[in-house]
Amino acid sequence: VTVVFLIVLGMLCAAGALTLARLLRGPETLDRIVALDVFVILIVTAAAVYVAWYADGSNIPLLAAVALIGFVGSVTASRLAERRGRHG
Amino acid sequence: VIRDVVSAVLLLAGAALCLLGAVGLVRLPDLPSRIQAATKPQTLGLLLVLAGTALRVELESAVTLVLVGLFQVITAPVISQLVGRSAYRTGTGAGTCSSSTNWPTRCRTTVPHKLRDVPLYALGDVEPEIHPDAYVHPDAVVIGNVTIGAEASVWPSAVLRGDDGRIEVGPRTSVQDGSIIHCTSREPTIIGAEVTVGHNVHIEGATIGDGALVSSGSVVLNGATVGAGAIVAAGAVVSPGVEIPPRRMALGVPARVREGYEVPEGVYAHAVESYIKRGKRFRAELRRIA
Repeated sequence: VTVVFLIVLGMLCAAGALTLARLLRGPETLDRIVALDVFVILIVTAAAVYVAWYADGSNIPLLAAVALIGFVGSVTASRLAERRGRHG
Repeated sequence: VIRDVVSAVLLLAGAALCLLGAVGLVRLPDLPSRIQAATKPQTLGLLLVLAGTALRVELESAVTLVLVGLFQVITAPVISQLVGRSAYRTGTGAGTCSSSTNWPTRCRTTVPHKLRDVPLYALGDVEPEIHPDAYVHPDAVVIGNVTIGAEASVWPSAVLRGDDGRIEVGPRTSVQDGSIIHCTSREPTIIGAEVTVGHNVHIEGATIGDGALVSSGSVVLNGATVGAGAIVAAGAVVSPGVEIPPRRMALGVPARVREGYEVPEGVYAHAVESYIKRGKRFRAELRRIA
């Protein structure tokens, strides 16, 4: 069981690293927003794996909270990028 | 035990999908396709991981997990729609959208994003095809079946109307201010590479060879051919069907080829170069201030 979890977390870490690469490289603000959104989803996924590992449901509200923040953040950021892009 | 195995498979599959999505995010060439990578595999990956997790916790928590999954399914399309719309409105990524199949049909797949303020018109389904390295001034008008090559330039008040037939402007060619390019259903207008079409020229259904100079105020009519490197002098009218041989000069109304004169090679190369440079400069520096 531990091996499975290690593999799963390894894949998620690799995915996180790739997403960070896109986040740093851009080139446009919107690329970064997409990358950041994916990164938040990856955090939620990793937290879900954590919950599964310890078979402990008490952290599940955390998932909902992070997902909510990610959603609000992405929406706000993309609207801001749109406004900037149009005026600048 | 079976539950553990199913859960493990779901977790592994979900993580693999997340990784796949991240690979796509890095490797895909432009924003619209990256949005795809960011939403579909990620969402499915998360749902699989949540399902795998739900199998390992008590029922109450599993219900909350379902809610988290639902939330993701609802928000992912909202975010990708918003990002896509922002990209579309600001022109981000549209310059490369010919390499992507993911834009809605409203996206002019062939139009570089720098050209968003240029009056480009589709006629029915036919859209102008403009090379990303071409420069079209925002006061020029380009309609329908028009192809503009790399580093070509089209200047203020020029009109390229590809309605009945086809118009081709070759690479490194300039179509200067006030020139009118039209075509007919029988005769496309083909302008070659490194051609200089001067100010206030009218070309209709004619073929202009590479490196030719069509000087200001001249008219080249239906079915006429101007050879490579030839010159149509200012104000000349090349009558329908007339053929100007390569490297010769045509003058007058109606245009006649000047006897015993051959245009020296490359005599207008500097003009071609200067218009390519001019196009780059305008692209970088032109600002509308009122």
